[in-house]
Amino acid sequence: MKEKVIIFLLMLFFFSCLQNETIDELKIDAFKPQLVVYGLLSPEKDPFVNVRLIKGFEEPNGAEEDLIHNAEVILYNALGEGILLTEVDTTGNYYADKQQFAISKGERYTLEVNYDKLSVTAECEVPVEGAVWNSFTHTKTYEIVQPFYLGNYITNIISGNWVDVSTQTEQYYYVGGVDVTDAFIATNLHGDTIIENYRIGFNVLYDPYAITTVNDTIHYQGEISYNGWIKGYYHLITMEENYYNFSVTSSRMKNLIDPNIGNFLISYKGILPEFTNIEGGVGFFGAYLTDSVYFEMK
Amino acid sequence: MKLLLSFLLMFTIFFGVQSQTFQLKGIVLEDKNSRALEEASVYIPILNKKIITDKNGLFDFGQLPQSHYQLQIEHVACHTIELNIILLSDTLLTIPLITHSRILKEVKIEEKKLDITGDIKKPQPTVVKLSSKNILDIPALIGEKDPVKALTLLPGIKQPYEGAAGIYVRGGGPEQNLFLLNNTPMYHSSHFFGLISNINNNAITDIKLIKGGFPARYGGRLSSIVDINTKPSNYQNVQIEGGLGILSSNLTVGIPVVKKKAGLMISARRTLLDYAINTYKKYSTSDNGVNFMFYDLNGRYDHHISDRTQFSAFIFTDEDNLEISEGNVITSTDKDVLTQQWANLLYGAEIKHQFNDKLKSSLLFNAANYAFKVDNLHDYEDDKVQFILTSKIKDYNFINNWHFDYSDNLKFLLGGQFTTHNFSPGSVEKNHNEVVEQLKTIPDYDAIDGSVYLETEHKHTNNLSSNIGLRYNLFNVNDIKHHSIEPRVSTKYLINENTSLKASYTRMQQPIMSLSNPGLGLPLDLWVMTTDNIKPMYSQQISLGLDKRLEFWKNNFIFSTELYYKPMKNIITYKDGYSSDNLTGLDPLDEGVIWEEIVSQGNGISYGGELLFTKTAGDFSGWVGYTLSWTKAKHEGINNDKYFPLRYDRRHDLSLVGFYQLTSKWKINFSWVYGTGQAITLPESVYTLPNFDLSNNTSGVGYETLFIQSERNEYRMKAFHKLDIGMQRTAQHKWGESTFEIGVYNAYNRKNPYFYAISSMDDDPSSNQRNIRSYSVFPIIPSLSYTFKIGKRKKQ
Repeated sequence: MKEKVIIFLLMLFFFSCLQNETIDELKIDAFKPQLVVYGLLSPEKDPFVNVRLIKGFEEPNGAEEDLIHNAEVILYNALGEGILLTEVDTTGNYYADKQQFAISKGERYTLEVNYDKLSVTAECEVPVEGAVWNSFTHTKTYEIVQPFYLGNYITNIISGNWVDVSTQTEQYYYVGGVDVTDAFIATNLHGDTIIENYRIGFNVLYDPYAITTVNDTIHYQGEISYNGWIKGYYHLITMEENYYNFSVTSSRMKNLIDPNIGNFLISYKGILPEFTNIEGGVGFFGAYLTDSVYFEMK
Repeated sequence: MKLLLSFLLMFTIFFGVQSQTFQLKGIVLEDKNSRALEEASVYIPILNKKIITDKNGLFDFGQLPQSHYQLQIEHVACHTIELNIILLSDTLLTIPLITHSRILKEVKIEEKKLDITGDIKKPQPTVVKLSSKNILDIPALIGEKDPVKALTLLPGIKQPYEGAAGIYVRGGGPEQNLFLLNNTPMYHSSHFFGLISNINNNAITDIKLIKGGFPARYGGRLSSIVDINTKPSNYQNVQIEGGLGILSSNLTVGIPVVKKKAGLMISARRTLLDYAINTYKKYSTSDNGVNFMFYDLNGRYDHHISDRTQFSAFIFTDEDNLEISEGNVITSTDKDVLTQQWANLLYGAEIKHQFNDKLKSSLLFNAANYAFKVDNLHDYEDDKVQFILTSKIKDYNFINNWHFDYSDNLKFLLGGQFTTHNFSPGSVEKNHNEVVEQLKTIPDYDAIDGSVYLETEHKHTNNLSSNIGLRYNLFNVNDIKHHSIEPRVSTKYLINENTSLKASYTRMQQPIMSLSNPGLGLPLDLWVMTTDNIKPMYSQQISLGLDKRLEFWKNNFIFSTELYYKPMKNIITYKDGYSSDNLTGLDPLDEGVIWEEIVSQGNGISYGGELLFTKTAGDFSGWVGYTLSWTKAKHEGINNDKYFPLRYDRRHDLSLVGFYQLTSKWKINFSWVYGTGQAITLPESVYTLPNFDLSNNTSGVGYETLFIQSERNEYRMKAFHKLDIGMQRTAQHKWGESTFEIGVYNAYNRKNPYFYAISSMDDDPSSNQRNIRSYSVFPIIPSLSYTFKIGKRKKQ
């Protein structure tokens, strides 16, 4: 009998060498569908609002997110004059013409979005004063040929500075951004030349080594490490507090939970206090000012 | 002060008393290698006196009248013997005991194997203890016999998550446990990213965990004291033990330095996987990859200077090293290397002297060093940029204890401890082509930590006994003094020979604390201490218990139950949205972040009940442990100021552990555990944030995923359960003993959740439908190990 037990356990041992992965789904509480609204205002630009609807994980299709095409989106100025924004494509993006409804510095605006039985409102104030570039330079530093990489590798160092005009009471914050517009020429793997519009929105908020502050002047140094840049604009953005606060929250949320094993090993930041100024929903309604400099790669 | 004067008065009275009797004392040894046996019980029935041997195997009955006596000597690892003596003069006995493995070879007998809860008659703290021999019998992950993990099979002690070597005790976080190796604090107690502990089972005699009713000699942590002692040295002959396993291999050598006087023990353990990985890399064209290494080394020297004086010294050092690299060795020397290192260095010396049969003293000095380092090197065309994060701790301790046995019924311990702490929680520097720049530093802290304590062990009547103590602690940091008076009371009432009731009250203070990241990831605990803005943590604990030796099957069953209530004050955690990254990372958002401002102190409560049913002897032995508990906390500014369950709040926890001696050579062991799922915060929904094209004020390319959170720890992971099985074959040889073990971890391949993540439905990344999935990382895992003991054996 004891020998049989031993044989059974030995068989169990060898059959146990099979390995399996994962996975099960988790049931969680009911979640009331909510509107997600992103509204952005800037003088001399068309007002823009993006509208989405989200559902909870308990739904049969999981946490589904839909772009909303037939929402009522109204923007009011401080005088109570309103304009209905219209969707011009199928991406949930709503716009108003800046000629019909101009956005002014220092003015307060109210946003109202209605969809189905859901309704949200939000307010924001456009900054009175924006920062401007004091200086801006760019230099190409090196060119490397990497065999198993796509073509040549060029790095351009971007340097600039501006005077800090933020105050604690007005809650103004800065972000320097690169946005290369116009034609961007790249060479693909097969040597064909393609032309595409390529825009990158990154800001120094997320770039650890970009910023130094001396007295009231903020110095920025960044890198453009993409092949084929030829010309573009480098933007300096002054954010209104709601836009800034939402950006901070979203940047911290990036590492919250990630199925990628590499990021999984990054320390987890726990529960993040969400930020929104959309009453009855999530997202943000904010504003910004821009100062741009044009440059061409040498 | 009055108490001290009373003590001194009794001390004086004692020296005035003389007796006409003879002294009876001795030493208990393990016969096979003449190693001293700690915690052997020497009992004289006619006097109803029992003495437990100390770390050096010594016992002393003091002066006894001239007479004939029968002695019963027991030890968990050995066969019980009886000895008859006639006491005609001062007598020193040397008593060898035969270990179980030798007995089993010849004849099977009923022997006592398991002694988890200790003597049910003694007013001792709520303690659980496992000998290194018990631990060898417990199945283990990848064959690693882990004393700390073995403790988690007992009630009230939990694993943080599957595979982890840390512990949660009665609702307290990992930083609330004081690991003492030979009375020296250990600040980092794991290897291999926290998967196994750094306690080498071959190097220790046993591991003891006190979770309530703390004697006054212990302090500095709220939840538990994990007391570990390295094996005393072998005075008689050379003995070699070793083992080969999948994850690590080890070797332990005992060498007599002076026959019957002094000995040396050295025990080393190291993983060999890094050699295998390096060999593979030699044939690889890429530098990309991961490598890791860990080792630990224990050394101990014991010197029996005289019958009254013993000296011992020890050293412990360990290191973990993880390296992740990217590069191409063929085309260039460019590379990007991330290295993380954890290291401990502990050392100390102790001298014990017995002045007479009633007074003995010990003087101890030790040092604890801990260092953590992250090194990130970018080497590009000989342009080297290196970022180095370091975190260090240095402690020096002096401890002096005086044991005074006024009578068999009244014993005192008076002691003091003086510690200097130097904490460097974290600094980040940049080294750019040998130009070093300090980027970030959390300030260093120097503190002085002094304690005095008095314990009295009093047997009031034959049935009622108590251990009452008081500890005073002064913690001085930045010239700010924190005082703490900590009463400790532990009583036991013997209802009958086999049943006792126990109760205890303790107050504990913890002035140093660790900031642990609130989730999964590489362990990065930053040790900090009480400051002007951060208060010490406190806890109180009340416990009531019942121990009963059941009167059937040769009294081989013990039933223990205990209820506890533990309020905690000023417990510390990161505020929502913060982690060690904010202190050690280089994100400009964290510029100027002060650690005291991103943590929160709050109050917690843990309460519950524990049951332990042990079968202590026979062919089949083992235990069933069950814990029902609640643990919650409340912090200002977290979870809308409402109570929330802590991560380690576990409503039900059940463990079944068994050992079955199939034949004289074969042994089967198993453990099955079940636990309520870990409390976890999950998003209730997700949404995407598009990148914005600000030049045209519209949405751009790409997006980020954002979350709508539940309340803190509102959800539970799936319940955790698994079965581990092991089989051991022990063989006796002319040269010693060998054991071959095969094991299966998670035998029925339960997919226990390790972490949760948001995934796209149907694994389609472009889908706008997402769900939450759990990921399991420990499937069924077989293991093999081989251990051996080489040593001179006496003829029977």
